[in-house]
Amino acid sequence: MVSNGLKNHLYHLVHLLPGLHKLTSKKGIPSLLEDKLSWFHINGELKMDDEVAELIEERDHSTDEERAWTSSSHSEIRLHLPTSVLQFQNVKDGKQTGFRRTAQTCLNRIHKAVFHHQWHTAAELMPNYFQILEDNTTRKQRSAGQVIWRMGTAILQHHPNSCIEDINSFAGKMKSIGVKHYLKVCLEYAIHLLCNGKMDEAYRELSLAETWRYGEQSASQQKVLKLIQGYRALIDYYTWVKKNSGVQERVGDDAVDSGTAQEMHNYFRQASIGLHDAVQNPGVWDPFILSYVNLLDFYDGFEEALKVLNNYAYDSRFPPNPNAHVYLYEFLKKHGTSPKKLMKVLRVLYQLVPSHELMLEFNSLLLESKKKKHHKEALGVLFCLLDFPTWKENYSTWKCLTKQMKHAIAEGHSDWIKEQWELRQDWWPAFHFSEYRAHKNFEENESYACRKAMIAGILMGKGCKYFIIVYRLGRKVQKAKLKKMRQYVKDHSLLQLSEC
Amino acid sequence: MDSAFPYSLFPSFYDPGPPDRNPLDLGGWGKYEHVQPFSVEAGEQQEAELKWSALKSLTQESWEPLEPVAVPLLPAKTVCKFRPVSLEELTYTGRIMTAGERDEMTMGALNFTEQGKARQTAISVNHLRTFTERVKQRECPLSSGSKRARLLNLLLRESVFDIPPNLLAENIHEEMKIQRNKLLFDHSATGGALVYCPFSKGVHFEEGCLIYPGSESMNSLNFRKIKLGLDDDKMPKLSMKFKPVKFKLNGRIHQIDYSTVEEEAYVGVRSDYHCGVWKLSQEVNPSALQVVQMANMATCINVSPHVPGELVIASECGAAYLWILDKGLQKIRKETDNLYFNAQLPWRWCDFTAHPRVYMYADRTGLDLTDVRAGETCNQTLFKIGAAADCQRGERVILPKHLRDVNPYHYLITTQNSAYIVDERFPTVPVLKWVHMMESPPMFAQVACGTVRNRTNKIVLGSQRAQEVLLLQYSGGMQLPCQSFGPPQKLSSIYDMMQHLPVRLPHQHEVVAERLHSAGAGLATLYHCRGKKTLSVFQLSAVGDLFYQMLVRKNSSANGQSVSGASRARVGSNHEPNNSILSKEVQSINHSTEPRLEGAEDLAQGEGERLEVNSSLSGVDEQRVQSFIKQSTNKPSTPSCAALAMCRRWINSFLKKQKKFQSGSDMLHKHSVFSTKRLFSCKRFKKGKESNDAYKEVWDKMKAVMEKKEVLCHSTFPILDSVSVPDLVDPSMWRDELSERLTAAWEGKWSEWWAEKLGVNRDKKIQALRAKRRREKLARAGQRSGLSGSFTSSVSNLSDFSDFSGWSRSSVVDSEHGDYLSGTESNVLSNKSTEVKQSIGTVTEESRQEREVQSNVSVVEQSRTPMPEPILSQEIRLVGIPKERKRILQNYLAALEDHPPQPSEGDDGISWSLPLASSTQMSFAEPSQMASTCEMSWLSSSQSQLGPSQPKKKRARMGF
Repeated sequence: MVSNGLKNHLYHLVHLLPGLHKLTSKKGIPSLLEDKLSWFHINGELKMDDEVAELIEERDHSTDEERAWTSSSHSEIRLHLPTSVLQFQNVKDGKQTGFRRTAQTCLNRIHKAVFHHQWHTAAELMPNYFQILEDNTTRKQRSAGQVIWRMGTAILQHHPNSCIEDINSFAGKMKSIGVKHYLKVCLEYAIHLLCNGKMDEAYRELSLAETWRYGEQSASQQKVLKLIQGYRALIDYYTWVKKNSGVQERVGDDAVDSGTAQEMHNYFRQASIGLHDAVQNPGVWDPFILSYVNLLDFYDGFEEALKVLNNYAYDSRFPPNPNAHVYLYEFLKKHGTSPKKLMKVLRVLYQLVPSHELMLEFNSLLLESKKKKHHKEALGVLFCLLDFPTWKENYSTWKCLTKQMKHAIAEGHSDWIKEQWELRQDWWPAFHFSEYRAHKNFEENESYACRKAMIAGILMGKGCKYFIIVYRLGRKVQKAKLKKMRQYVKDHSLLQLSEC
Repeated sequence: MDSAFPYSLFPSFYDPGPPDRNPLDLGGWGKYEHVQPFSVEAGEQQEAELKWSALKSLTQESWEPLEPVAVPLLPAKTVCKFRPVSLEELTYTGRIMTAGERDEMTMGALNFTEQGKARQTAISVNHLRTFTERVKQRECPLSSGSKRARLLNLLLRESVFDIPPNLLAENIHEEMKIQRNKLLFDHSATGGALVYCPFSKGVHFEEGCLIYPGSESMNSLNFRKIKLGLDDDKMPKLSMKFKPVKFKLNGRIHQIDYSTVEEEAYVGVRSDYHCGVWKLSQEVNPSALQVVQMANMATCINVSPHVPGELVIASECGAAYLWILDKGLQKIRKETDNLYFNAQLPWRWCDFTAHPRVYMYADRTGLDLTDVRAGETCNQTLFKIGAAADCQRGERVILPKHLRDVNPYHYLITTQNSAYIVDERFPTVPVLKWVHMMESPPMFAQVACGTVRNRTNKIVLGSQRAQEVLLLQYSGGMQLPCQSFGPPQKLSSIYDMMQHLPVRLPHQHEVVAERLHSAGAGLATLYHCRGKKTLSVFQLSAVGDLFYQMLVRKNSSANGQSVSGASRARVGSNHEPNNSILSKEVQSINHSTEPRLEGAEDLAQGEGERLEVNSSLSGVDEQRVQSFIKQSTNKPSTPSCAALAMCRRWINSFLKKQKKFQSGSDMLHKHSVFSTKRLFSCKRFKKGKESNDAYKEVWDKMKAVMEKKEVLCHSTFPILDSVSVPDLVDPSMWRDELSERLTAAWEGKWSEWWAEKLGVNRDKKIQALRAKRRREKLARAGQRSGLSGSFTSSVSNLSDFSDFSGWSRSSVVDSEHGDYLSGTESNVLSNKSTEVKQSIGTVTEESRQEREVQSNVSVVEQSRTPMPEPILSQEIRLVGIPKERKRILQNYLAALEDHPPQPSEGDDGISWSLPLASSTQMSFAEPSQMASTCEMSWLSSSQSQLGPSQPKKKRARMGF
């Protein structure tokens, strides 16, 4: 199946890097844009269209692609001016040598092929692009190295005939494209190994990269290093988990020997140090936090784990991650913390994400409490949940609401309901209690429709459409129940309340 | 469950603050970015296996286009009345010829009619007055076709402008920039004016309504039913047989949005200052409900997915309104400034969110959530351009979109560089980001969501200018974090059709190409996810053409894996048979204490779905698809006959329309042609004299010449006897003082003559002579290469005469040494001019005169000669002559010089026509060569008044 030609191309792609072969000479290609600049003559002074001037300038200074932008003076946003614009200008453009244009054309064609997922074509074109490495400016060379890395990786990843060895050797070569990119290449390669189930190799790769030192590190390199550290520690953690489960199984048979314990502790230490460092920087560290907390928890570091979680949830440097509160709640719940503290955590989450699934738990927690304040809050939480379209047809939520409204009415707190209703009375009728919905709900689930009808009746009186329709439909099936419901609505609807 | 939030998100850094320095723009290729582990439950007995999954996964559903090009959906209905201006034209920076320059070139002949006309119009001030009054009234000068107005315009030129031409030029320049930017990016089209609203879906068919604007000015709203079914070969096919329902609106339609609530579709339509709502359903024809007029330009309209009959609109002044049908507008928010930094951009957008009473409010700097419950407004940042979203400098929000049907908590945000998915439950940090690498910013987007959750969602992005279409795939956002699947895939653009079309006449080809290149105006998708899965992408262009392309799902399990043997390790772990990684029951390993069952539900659903698919497809059908796919992978493929027929039909309809329009628009062109009829009207010739055939003939010929826009000269107008050169007045013959003075005055040296006469400038002269000597000494000490060079070249090769730039440069160098140049030179020269006494007509005598001068000068001052002396050059003399006269003369001379000297005219003619060439050089030259030399020197003289070319000859002679 695999043609020889293609194999050759792949061979080129993988082995003939970087810039080991001398290709065409860059001299002797005439520059087509040597003409003088043309000027726009307005009002006695010489003025060139500044946008085009900028275009030329940008093109001269651009690092990788010949692109320019419209200036912000009039256009709404910075945009690429198409290079076709330049073709119509007599523009002096010394830097734009034929050599570079050839390389750029080649790159454009590679892009086109990759965009259309024509991996064969892209692989055939790729070796031709390597000649850009002979460019006389170091800047261009450096950027070309990156382009080759990224495009080459993309092609090898998707080419139907590429194999893991190709990618390995390509990644190995790519590590030498520049000091600045070494860590990035390592990280991407390690992720590739991980995705292919080669955890051990990935671990080796990450450890190597972690210990790599070369001069001053830039901010972006620091970031990559932190990630490398984090991922390495994460693998450590999973190794620990695996070993630990093995140890746990054996616990029944005989006691753990000190050697194994020592080994376990080593893994723990490595993982926890790495994870600890990784979660210090502001960011989203869900997998790291979970592993770290699990580790600490296992070794009885309750306080430490709580500190990490609190920091993750409440430090203002961190983004408002709902999961941070979820983890904190789950951790506290697991350790049997008092409902008051749990409620506190969930209340914060309620402010952040009122539609969160944990709100049902929050609701039941509030109900368990003896305080009336909490009962009122619980009702509010339910109403809030039902505001969201994803909870709109959630039977159990409506069921809870019916129960709690009845409870509130029985307790003589119709004003709680009224308070909630006032916020919603302009849109809930159309959102929940339309005619269409009454028919549909009744068709799908009668008891659910009845429950909803009762709420509608309480909120809007027995004259509301939803109630009337469900009542009319339901009367044929279960007359007694509906009659009872109607009486209840008649007695307890909010309209009744306001009339009194 | 819909409302679940991913339990564990992918790791990332968070860095609030302004965007960083722009990194190298490499696009989004070959990156995994982040990874996290999931435990995959392989079976009941086996222990959970650890799987790592990357943020940018390699796997994807592969979608193959049925046809290699986008095919027109309907024949062309409209034709553009005006040729659209192209971007290249608006960015042209070359020298633009002004009308004046043109005149000099084309009407160089001695045109006495101009004089006559001027006299005529100058007299009738009344005409002028009426004309100027009329100019004010008329809006378009083309349509106010008064003959007199044109003639007057010719005469008055700049003086009739309301705005000074300089200012006008600047304004036009400015306007061109604005137009150019508008061509690059026109924000009014944001969102797109094309919508597909599905009605009913079956396994093998789907019916829906395509809503799009039509007619020339895109102001008629069309509702057209379309049906997706299978054709005889069991391939998906669109049918457009139904007649559209049309509504004529008052303005161009920029955006159409719809939402289906409770089986009724509400359609919001936005034009510049009006927004309207229509309602339709499968059974009921569309009906208009309500229209609002805006004081400011409307920028956005969106229909509520929650409550029927609710819309939001935003306008350029920064206000956003909730529009409840029958209740009117209700202000949500008004911001005069931009949200996060001062970008001073008027564009605003608003949309609905997961909560029906919380609205999204956006401008170019970011997105905000505005809660309007209970009167008080409370705002929360959803997304802002900055480092938190890893933005680049200069990046701006182009299109925000609430992903109602896919995930109500999600938003798609496009910028010039990237596309983001943002979850409102975790604001400011995008859950997914792609670098889309499109040439122009994506302004249209559709997100198709399969009914089954474990399939990928498809984002189709469309850009305005280049009409690119990009397909992205992602999944997640509920139990699992968002993950992107596969690299972006470009779909064919409308213009690709060109290469498959039959060859046409060049101008037709050009017109069609231009038409296909017109900007995009909208994008719609039809995702049929049952039975044979198809994704149809509709594209609307700004001129009203509709194109579509259909993609079919390629089943990689059948052909991919069997080919590459098991011996080879596959790239990417995720090459699962059905290509949907998420159908595995996946859960976070850390969460093993609390097994989640929802995933299992998904799995079950997925399996069921797959089974259904397999059973629904017959074996034959499957094979067909496969063979088709094999074909399609063997590029380059050509479109099917049916597609080609559609393309041809479209082109024919378009060209026919175009032709019809062109014949109709001839009238328009006639207005803009400058009529030469009036220039030499019959009447004027008849005036005073008896009309006879000779005059008639002359008139006819003249007219013919004028119509051809040729110069009225001997060759083009042979009917006239060649005018003999008038006898020249030789000023040297008139030696009396008065004549001398008059001659001097004619040359503009009247005052100098007097100064000379009275001896006022004697001291100056002496000084100048001294200075000159000093300069000469210096020159002698220095190199004389310039001089000798000019000498040899002038002798050896005549053609070098045109190249006097080298000389003039050396003269400049020379003059820098001496200080005499400024005021004294003219005195020195005028001294000689008393000797020479040349009048303007002394060309014939020139060589003789020159010699005289030469001798005179050499007698007075022998060492002075290396100094170039421009006294004898005609150009120099022209410089001194008052403008009006000079102009007439120049025209005259230019016209005469237009036709080559004829041998019959004898030596006189030749020597006259070669005022710049000395006799010695003339003997080398052939007539034609001389003519060209002469012409060149004249041209150069007209280009630069300062460049005296005469001295060259003198210098050459000096060598003798």
